[in-house]
Order: sequence, then C-alpha cells, then structure tokens
Amino acid sequence: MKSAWGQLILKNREVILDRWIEKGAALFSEKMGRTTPIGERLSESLAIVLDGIEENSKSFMDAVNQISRLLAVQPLPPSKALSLFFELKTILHETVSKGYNRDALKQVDWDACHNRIEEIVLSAFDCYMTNREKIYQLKVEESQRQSFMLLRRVQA
Amino acid sequence: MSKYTPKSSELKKEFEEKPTILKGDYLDKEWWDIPVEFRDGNWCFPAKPEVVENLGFPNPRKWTATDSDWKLPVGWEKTISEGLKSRLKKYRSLKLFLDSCVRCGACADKCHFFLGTGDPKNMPVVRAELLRSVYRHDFPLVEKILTGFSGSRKLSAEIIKEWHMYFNQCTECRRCSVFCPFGIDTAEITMLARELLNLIGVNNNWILEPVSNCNRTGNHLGIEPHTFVQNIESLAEDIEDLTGVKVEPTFNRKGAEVLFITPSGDVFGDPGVYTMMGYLLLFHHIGLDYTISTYASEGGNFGMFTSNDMMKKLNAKMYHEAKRLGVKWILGGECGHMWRVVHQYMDTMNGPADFLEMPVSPITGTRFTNAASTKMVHIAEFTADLIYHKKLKLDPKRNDHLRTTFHDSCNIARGMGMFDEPRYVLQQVCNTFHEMPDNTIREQTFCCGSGSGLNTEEYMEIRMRGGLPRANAVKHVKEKHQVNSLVTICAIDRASLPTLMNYWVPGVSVYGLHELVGNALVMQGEKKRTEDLRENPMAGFTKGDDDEE
Repeated sequence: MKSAWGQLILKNREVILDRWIEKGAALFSEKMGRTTPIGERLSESLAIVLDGIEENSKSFMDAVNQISRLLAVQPLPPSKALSLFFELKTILHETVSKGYNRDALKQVDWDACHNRIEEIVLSAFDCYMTNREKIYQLKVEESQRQSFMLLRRVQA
Repeated sequence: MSKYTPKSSELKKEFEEKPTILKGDYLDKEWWDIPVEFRDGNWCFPAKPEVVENLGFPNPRKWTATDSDWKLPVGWEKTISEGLKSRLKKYRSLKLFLDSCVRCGACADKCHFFLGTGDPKNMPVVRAELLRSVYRHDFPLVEKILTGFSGSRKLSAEIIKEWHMYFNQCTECRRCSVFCPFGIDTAEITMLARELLNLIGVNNNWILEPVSNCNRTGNHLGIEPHTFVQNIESLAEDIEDLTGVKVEPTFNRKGAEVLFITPSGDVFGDPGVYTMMGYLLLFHHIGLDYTISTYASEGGNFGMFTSNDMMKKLNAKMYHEAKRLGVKWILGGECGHMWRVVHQYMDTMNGPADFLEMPVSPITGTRFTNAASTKMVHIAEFTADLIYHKKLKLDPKRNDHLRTTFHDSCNIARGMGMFDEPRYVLQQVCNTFHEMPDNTIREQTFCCGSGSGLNTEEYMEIRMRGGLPRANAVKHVKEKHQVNSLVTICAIDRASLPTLMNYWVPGVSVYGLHELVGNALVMQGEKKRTEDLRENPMAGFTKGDDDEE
C-alpha cells in the first residue's frame, strides 16, 4: 500500500476486514454465516478487494465482479446491495476514531480515500448491471436451448 | 463411549454460540412470525386455466402469487383438512415423518436452498414444520389439547401462501434425508404438500403444463408423434453428416426386443439432443433390436411433482406401451426423477410388470436382476456392462478436448443408489476426469437448484441462489484441475446447469454421459472424425490426420 489511507488499512487489516464481512453478512434477510457458500465467496472477495484496493488489477476487478454477482441475485434493491462498498468509508472512519493516530491522515488523504471508494462503487455498479443483464440474457438463451429443434426447423 | 463423543463443555459452547431456529439470530421472533413476501424472481407463474381444465383439476382461474386474494375455492380449509386426513391414512410414511421429527436440526444446513438463501424457512426441518404445525393443530389429540404449546397453528390463507412459497423452494432432492437420524424424507413431505395445494388450485404452470402435455401427447413438451419422429430422423441425418454412418431407429415397432424411453428434452432441447445422438450411435454400434415409442415418448414424470395419482398415470403409460408393442423389457435413458419413480414407486403403483421379461443384455448376456420387478434398466448400467465385457470399440482420445467432472443427479444418486456405473463409463470414454469435493458428490451430491419443476425462467434468481453450492464445487475443480466439462445423467440437469454454469462458473459446458460415449465410439464404416457431436473440433484430430489406428 502506497498511500497514507492504504497504510491505515494495512495496519488494521484484520479488524477492518472482519467488520466489512460482518456488514456484508448483515445485508441478507437472516445474517449469513461465513462458512456458507455465500459467506465464503463474500469473505474471499472482500479480502481481495481490501488487499488490492489502490489499483484496478485484474484480481481486484474479478473480486468486485464476484461480489456484484452474488448481490445481483439477492432480494435486495440495488441501492442497498451496493451500499456494502460505501460501508468501507464508515468502517475506516470508525477505525481511526477508535485509536488509530488521528493525525496520520490529513484531509487530502481522506479525500483521496473517499474518491477511490466512490470509483469502486461505480465499477461495482457496472458489474452489478452486467450481471442483472446477464440474468435476462440467460433466460433468453435457456428458452432458445429448450426449443432448439423447433428453432432449427424454423431456420431451415 | 466413543472417543469422538464431544465433551459436555463443547456441546454447551456449541449450543450457546451456534445459531438455531429457536435462538440466535431468530431470538426475537418465532419462525411463523417471519412474513412471506412474493416479489419478482421468487415465485413461479401459476397454471393457466386451460391447463388446469384439461387435467380436470380444481379451481381453474387467472391469478398470481402477488395478488392479495388468491381466489381460493369456497370451503378450501375443509378440502385441505380432509385431504391431509385421508393422506395420513393412506400413506403411513407421511404420518411417520410428521410424528417422528425431534427437530435436531441435522438437516438444517444440508439444503442447497438454505445455504444459498440463508432463509430459515428453507431449513428442511422448518419447511416440514410448515405442514407439521397445521397437522398438530388438528390431529394428535394430546397436541390438539396443548395448542399453543406444541407449535401448532390454525390453517389460514397466509399459511397457504407460505406453503406455496417454500414447498416450491424444495427440489425434492433428498440431501437432507441423508443426514436425518430418523430417515425422514422431506421430499415426500414436499410432494404431499404440493398435492394438497393442487386440491385448491394453488399450482405452478411449469409443472402442470408438462403434465397436461404428457397426459395428452405422451411427453412433457407436447411433441406430436410425427414431429417426434422427424426430430429423431433429423438427428440421424446429423450423425450421418458427422460420421458417415447411417443409423436407422424404428418407431412403434411391434416385436422389438427392447423399448427405449428417454426424456423428451433429449429429442428437442440443447444439449439433450447430443445425448440422443450418442444413444443412437451406441445402439447402432451394438446392433440392438430396439424401438422408440411416439406415445410413451417421455421418461420424465412431472406427475411426481403434482400428485400420486398423476405420477401413477404417467408411469403406467410406459408400461402400457411396452405391453402393446410386445417388447421384452425397457431401456431407460438419462433422466433424473424418472428413476426415482421407477425405482421407488413403480412397483407398488403399477407393478410388478409381470408381462415383461427379466432384462437380459442381448450383447453380453448379463441378467439385470436388480430390475427383476420393474423390468426397466438404466442406460448407464447397460453401457457400463457393455464396456466391462469389451463390447464397444472406444477411442477416449476423441474427448481429449474435454476435461471432465461428474455431477451426480439427485434422483439417480439418492433415489436409486447409482454412483459407480456412470463414473466407470465416463472414465472409459475420456482421459481426463476429476471429482468434485467429497461432500458434494455421490449420496451427498448438491442439487442443480432447478429440479422438481422449478426450472422456469421467472424463477431465475432463486434458482441461481439455490444452485450456488453446486456451482461452488464446480468452480473448485475448474480452478484446481482446469475442468471445462460438467457431465451429468439427468435431463433437467442438462437443461438447467448450462445456465447455472454461465452465471457462476463461466467456461464450463454441460454434457450428457452418452454424448461423450457417442464421441468416443469408433463406428464400423465411419469417415474420418474431426469434430465431436456438437461439431466442435476434437483435439489432435485435424483434417488430414488419420485417427484410425
């Protein structure tokens, strides 16, 4: 981590990740256990996002997509689903207020941090919409597969 | 005492820390206080009125699950109550399952819908409790007296809505039953609950329309006999184009030795049609004396998801046709629930099929004594027997473009206990095979999330959530072993798993077992093969190479 806010995450990684996963699990109607398939995928992906948060590496974007894919089929409005990424801001502020050296981050660092998180939210929104569109595409493709011989005869 | 028995301190810790339906996250609410909310993606379209009328089922009407008034028939409470009472008398298993559960929760985290949704009413114990609570209100005298203390509740329209939602979030896969210390078959509770709901017109079009089609034309898709023949002949032409071999299936031929019955998806849908091509190649390869019926043109039985009587009627059609054609025995294709019906219910519903003969392979002489009563043999064991006796000329290199894993279809695995035959066949027809993790295969296999008539597009979100545990296991072998092919022996799997894979594990394609058999078969008089049955190039078989050794 190169930035000051990245250093804050690095030094408090376990606490921040734990709280973020907790927030993710709380999105579901009943708190989702971490050892469930959803819980595991969510935990793994949030860890990758947190560890690579400063840059849009391939693994980072794959993880953002993975989280968005999980959220896109849940009974949640998009605004609530993607609020998970905004939660990171709150968690970071709470981490600072709970003992991290307050002077370590200047306003300019916070601005950079907030801007980056907002960038990530927009990326996640793109992924979320791609996955929602994919659901509809899958419906079309499934209908076509189910009528494969009919369509073949029509086309012939 | 076993050294593995947990210490009391460990049990206490687990009790205090592990969430259960009675405490933890649900501490402030009883499970029945959690409201049922129908929203897009979590309910199936109800049956069209004409479909209900065609079947002679009650209460045909237009309605949707999001309506506040479901237009239930006058006296529906009595219909349900008497329906339950008569079924308790008729099916001792139902009474046993309702009475014997001690709510230990061993089943709770075994259900793919619970794992994929986190909804406590998807724990099999609670799903069954939806019916059990009503049963307790009306039936065992002691519990009737103790109303309010025994978790009983009076039947209401809200409960009907709850039943409709959660008994349609069970694919009758029976994974929970594997872990139940009492052997309670929650799938049968779901089957009976759906049967009760059908009594008052609470239904699912994706189930009842195939039932109605099958009742009329002999198959779920409603394919008329002439189209059924044309489709298969069209696939035979494809085979000739690809291999140079002319296969000649016969239809409704009296006096054939074997009647072959497979799900209608295999003659209509992608990728089922490629599995059908594999069957046709195999039968030609061994010179089997077989015929295909255009009337008993469906192996599947959506009656199983509707009512016992309808399941019996649709099953009987296959045997009537076998009798009419005068065949010796029936060979069944790659289907899931067809095999649960045949293996577990046929014998007491329509059997024993004494007018047929004990199935004997005309090629190897093997007597299939396991099918002595039903007279119906699964094609995986038929083919495994052929391979075991070295009756097939196979070149597994022709499947080298596929790195495979095997998905045990729930009804084949848990419904009839067949695990090894399909694996044996698969490993003889291709060179690369990797198992998914132990707790996701064989009797512990995870469902595709779309079985029991839930493979409908409007239910896509629930299906994706319910199928996540299966997809996770495939993802594991894809990342670890570069698996790119998921092989299965169920028509619903072949229809639904491509969608599941496309969403959760892109890059993995779905195949029927006999499609791979068809790829690997070295046919007499064939032309040089460079493409598989999907017309995809086979690795190492470029045009100009000689693949004949």
